[in-house]
Amino acid sequence: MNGRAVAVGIALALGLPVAAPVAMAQSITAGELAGTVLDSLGQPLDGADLIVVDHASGVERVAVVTRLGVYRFPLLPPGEYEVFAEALGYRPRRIRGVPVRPGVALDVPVVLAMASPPVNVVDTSFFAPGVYQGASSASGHWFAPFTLSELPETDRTLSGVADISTNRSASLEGEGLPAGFSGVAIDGLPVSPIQHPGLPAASASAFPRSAFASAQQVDGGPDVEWTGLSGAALSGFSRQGTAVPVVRSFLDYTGSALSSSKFFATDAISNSTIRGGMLITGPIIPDTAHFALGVEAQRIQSPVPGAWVNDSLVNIARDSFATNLSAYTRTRVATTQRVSVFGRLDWELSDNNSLGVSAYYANDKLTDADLGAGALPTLGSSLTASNFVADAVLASTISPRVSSELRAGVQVNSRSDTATGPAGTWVSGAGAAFGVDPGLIGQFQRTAILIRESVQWRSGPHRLKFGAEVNAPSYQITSAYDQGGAFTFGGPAQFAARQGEFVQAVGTLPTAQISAPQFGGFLQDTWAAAAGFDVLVGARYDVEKVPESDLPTNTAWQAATGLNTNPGRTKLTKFSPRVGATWDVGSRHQWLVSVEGGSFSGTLDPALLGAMVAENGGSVVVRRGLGSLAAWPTAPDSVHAPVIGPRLTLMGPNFEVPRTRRFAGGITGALGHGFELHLDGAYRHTDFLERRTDLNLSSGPSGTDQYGRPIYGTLVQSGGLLAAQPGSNRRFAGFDLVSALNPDGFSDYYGLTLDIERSIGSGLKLVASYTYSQTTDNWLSGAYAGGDPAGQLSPFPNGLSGGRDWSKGTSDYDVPNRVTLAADLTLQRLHGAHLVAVYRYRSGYPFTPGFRPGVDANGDGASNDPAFVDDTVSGMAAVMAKNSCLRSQVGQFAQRNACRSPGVSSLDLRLDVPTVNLGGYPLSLTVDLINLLESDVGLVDQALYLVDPTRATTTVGSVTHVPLKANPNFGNVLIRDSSERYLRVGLRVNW
Amino acid sequence: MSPFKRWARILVAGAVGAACSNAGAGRVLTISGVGQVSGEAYFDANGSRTPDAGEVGFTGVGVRLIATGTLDTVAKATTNAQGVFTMNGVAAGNYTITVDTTTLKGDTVFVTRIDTSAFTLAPGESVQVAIAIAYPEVPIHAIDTLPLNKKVFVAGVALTGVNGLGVFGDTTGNFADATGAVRVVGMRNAFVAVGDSDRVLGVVRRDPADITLRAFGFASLTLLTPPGPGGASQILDTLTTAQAVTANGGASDAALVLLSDTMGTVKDTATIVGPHGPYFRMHIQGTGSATLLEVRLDSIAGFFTNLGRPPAKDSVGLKVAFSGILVPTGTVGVWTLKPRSPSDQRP
Repeated sequence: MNGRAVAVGIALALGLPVAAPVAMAQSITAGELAGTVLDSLGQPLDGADLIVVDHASGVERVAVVTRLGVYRFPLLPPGEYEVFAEALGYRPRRIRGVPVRPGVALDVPVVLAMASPPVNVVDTSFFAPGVYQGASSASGHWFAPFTLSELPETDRTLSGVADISTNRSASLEGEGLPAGFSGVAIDGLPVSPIQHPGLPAASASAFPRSAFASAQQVDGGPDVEWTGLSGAALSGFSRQGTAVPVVRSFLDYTGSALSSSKFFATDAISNSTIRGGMLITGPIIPDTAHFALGVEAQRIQSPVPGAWVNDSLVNIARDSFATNLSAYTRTRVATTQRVSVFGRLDWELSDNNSLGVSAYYANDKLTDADLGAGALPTLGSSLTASNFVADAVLASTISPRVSSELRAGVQVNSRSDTATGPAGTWVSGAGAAFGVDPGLIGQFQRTAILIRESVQWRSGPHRLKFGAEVNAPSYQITSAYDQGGAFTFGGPAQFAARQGEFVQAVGTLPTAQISAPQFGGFLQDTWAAAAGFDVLVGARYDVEKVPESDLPTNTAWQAATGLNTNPGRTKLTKFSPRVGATWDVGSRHQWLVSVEGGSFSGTLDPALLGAMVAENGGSVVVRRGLGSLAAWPTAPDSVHAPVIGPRLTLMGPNFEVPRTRRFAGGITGALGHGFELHLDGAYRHTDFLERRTDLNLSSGPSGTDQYGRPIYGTLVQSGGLLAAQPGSNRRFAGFDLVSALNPDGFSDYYGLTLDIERSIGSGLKLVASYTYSQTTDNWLSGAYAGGDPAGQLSPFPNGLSGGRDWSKGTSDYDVPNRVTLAADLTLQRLHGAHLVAVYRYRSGYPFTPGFRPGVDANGDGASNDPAFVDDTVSGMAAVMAKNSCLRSQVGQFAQRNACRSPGVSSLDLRLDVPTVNLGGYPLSLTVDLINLLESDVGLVDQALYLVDPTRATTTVGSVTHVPLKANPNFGNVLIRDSSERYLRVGLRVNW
Repeated sequence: MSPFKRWARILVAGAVGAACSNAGAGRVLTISGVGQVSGEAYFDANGSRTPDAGEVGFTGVGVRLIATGTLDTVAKATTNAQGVFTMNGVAAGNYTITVDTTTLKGDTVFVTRIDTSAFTLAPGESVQVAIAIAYPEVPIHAIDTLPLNKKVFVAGVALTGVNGLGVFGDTTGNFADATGAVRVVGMRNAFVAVGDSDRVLGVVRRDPADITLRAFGFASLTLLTPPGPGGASQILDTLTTAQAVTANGGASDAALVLLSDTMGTVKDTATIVGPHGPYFRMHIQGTGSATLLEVRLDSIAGFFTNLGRPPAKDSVGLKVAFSGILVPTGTVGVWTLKPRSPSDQRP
């Protein structure tokens, strides 16, 4: 590979945004190589033999060259290829470094020089891909094998590779949308490990990186086969078998002796992590049938910082309630045990038919897992998950003009979350939380069958694609928020007196059994409108069945309001047009301009459907207590916490699933030897985001607070706690929160990415990428609500003065700045060892100055109220001096997400040193230094004020005066969630 | 601008607008089911707080519908000439009906009952509300502090009967509640049995020197509750003879009292012919007291004492015991004890 190609290669390998041509091939998982074999006079050579060899697997494929010298490989797995052509009377030619990318049709002309026999020389040349090196479109980032194996990583999951792009995180959160809007596709079929509705999206643990040859991040690719996601798809290409047997293995280790942190003591408790795996690939029938078989096992023990420090609480719990909370104050260990096996069989059934079958299975067991910043620190939790995925792709070349891809898959996923320990507890004034997260417990199962047939037809300059698909998932969900109960106390004194707030969902929890199949069809045309100018126009139409018959009707609610908890809708229809164009300026592969746009719809959220089934029938009801609870850690009795009524979730007949319309454009320039420039811009508009409103909130306020904030119900203060008297804020007695999910939410994203790659000599490669973006929405996602439905309510349900929607503003997922800097230094004096460094930075997440959990300033049942920024409150001068974001907010209710937590930086290093050769198997030593730049992350203390427990709330007329004092901890980390920095050593054999 | 450019611009603007607009705006699930709230405001002439025959609608009454737990007036209405109001299109929910008291024009009448003031309205449902407007009902002791000529209801147990036989005057009754007793005069065409629980409408008077409730001519009496065991005897103040003379400073005016310091001594006796017929009068002196209390025995009530025979002039010096109703003598601050029947003449 020449230097320029290397420079491009590392850029693409690093997954940086690369503007490149629109996918003009017809498969989303395969690329196309085509061209003409010519003699040196430019005449087509009849009867030439042409072979392509996959560089990674060594597998050969032979083309049939037509009488006009034309050859074509319509459905090649992506990778780096070598093209070899020969003909009698000509010197053979080998062209190396030919990139095959999904969705890209690459023209590779082959010119053979005449020679007299015997011919002993093979002409060898390197393909000059220019801007076609790797990317598939402005919507996608190509992750080459280099990414998957050579970069220092913290997560061996497939989706984790997205962390090195500058528009996504490892969970695929990005472009202003949460992780749940994106997903993983394996060999073109979407896979969906079942998610817990209140916890961070689980990574695709069933799919370890070694199972994949490459991956592509598709941010709204225009191809009509992409469906089911309103965010991005991380498309993984499973590893194929090799022409010769190959055995690879790795083993690495880290432990408490190799880790440290400036934020917490990592060696306070013994921990160690060991990971290992083996991959065997080889032929069954050479060049006909090949296999890949792998296994990975990991036991990861991660130190987790103590959540908080408060001796008073620990002593109270120990002395008064015989409960030991000290473990929450010390470094603890989260353990993950994971075993995954995978395999793939590729079989060239005939010259025109190939079959690829792959299967994955993983079993995860997480103990005392770090549940993320949105959940309570929970000790005693146990997560058991298993994921099985099997898929098959039958690729057929029916005729020179017609080919077909038939994909089929089956997926079985299960997840069980359990926990022991005290009920989830917040002590608001102390800023401490402990116990079982109220949303944690649940059992989830998913079974899905997917079938898609795509027919591709060439006609003149047109390439038509049409097909149909069925995606039939079914779910079994047993989960209800607050099953285990949740306490909130105003402060240590109230905790000792057991005076506070309690809520619990009680009753026989039914298992929701839901089936929501989707049927779709698609049609797409791609044609060369002019030389170097390709256009794509397509559309797909999907019908998703709403499991109406599975959803219950709450007759009491219907009688009281006329609203049926069953939406009475049988299907959702989705029309998704797609367009795109690429312009290879001058057809010189030097400058490439691409534009694309399309509509992308998601699918029904099984968590919402599960909640509707579990809670709408009326057998599960919510009970609440406020004041003297006379119990902790056991739940109060029904006298202290009587039943209020069921908590319902409703979808209206106008319900829709989220839909994204995304437009992107990019320019890619190959500026010279080892110097590449990429500039991408994207605009995304997502609507039909579900916004939650409380239909059972009092139809109007009962008064206001001292700042004019509308108050619902009767506010009761208990120390630092403030809550509405249970039932006092309800419109209809006999019901708790009744959520309507209205599809009137939207999100707008603008992003601009500049990426520069540079090779300096042969030993240093540099990449710099920066994305600036802006995301606004009116969608209160409940990002830190831990699944609490009340956390998604608007604090101003009737709007601000003038009807203005307070919710409209900076998105919870707005991360305006992301930077990646990477360098790869080859150390010739150290046997060609590689030193790879990756620096990443992202802006902190925004947050709204407000109150802590346990302070419901407006009495609507949620602690999500913005503070009125009053610089006359005691202690505010010091707080404002430290937080400049507050200065523009004085005299008003804080705007949504007016402040932002500090940015997060990371620096990872890997030194890979070749050592000895063990009987033909090279052994290398790897030393990883992970997270050298630590950032103090966790749940930010958003409370601008605390409720002053030394003063009482008073009401005069309709105005309630809540005693407030400034919170000096505002903006600091409240519940720490940092990771340690550590050194990891490993050995790799033949990797 | 050429037509082509203009159409191109329109198409582009339309496409971008469609792409960027919030297609879900307005797709908000609300409780749209409505019902009707109607009712009648009536003049509760007899204070029964239920619409009775002959009672008429009260016009011009402003009615407000308040969503429970809020300060919001959801709907307003004014009663028509028949006292009827109607509120259509009221969203389902929990409500409270209130009356705009300014529309009652003055402080003479009040809303005494709304049946039912707090209710749940379901979609398609019609809720009927009855609003009783009447003179206020006050505790008996409050009469002392009301301005003269204030028209009020009192409710209490009849201490004396009204039957036209003239024991306490042809149309005078005495009623007591837990707060005190009151004398009601002018109860024409009424029949009251001792022990009845009655509501009486009257106007506050000072007649002649003490607070009295003068009943309206049409005042009807309503049995509130059946008299309990012992009837009126359950309501009994215990006073010394000296206290009884002043009705305990007026607090026990019209009350049924029991003299605590008897046996008192009869100091004198006389037979008097009054406007309602002859009565027997005696003065008694309590033990250790120099104060003389006049005791008046109506002929109809029967002139019996503990002597076992009607008292006579030769009863002077006898020891006697009485309970009875304290009535004014006409002299400010001086009361007379009137036993209601021989059973009040003890032992």
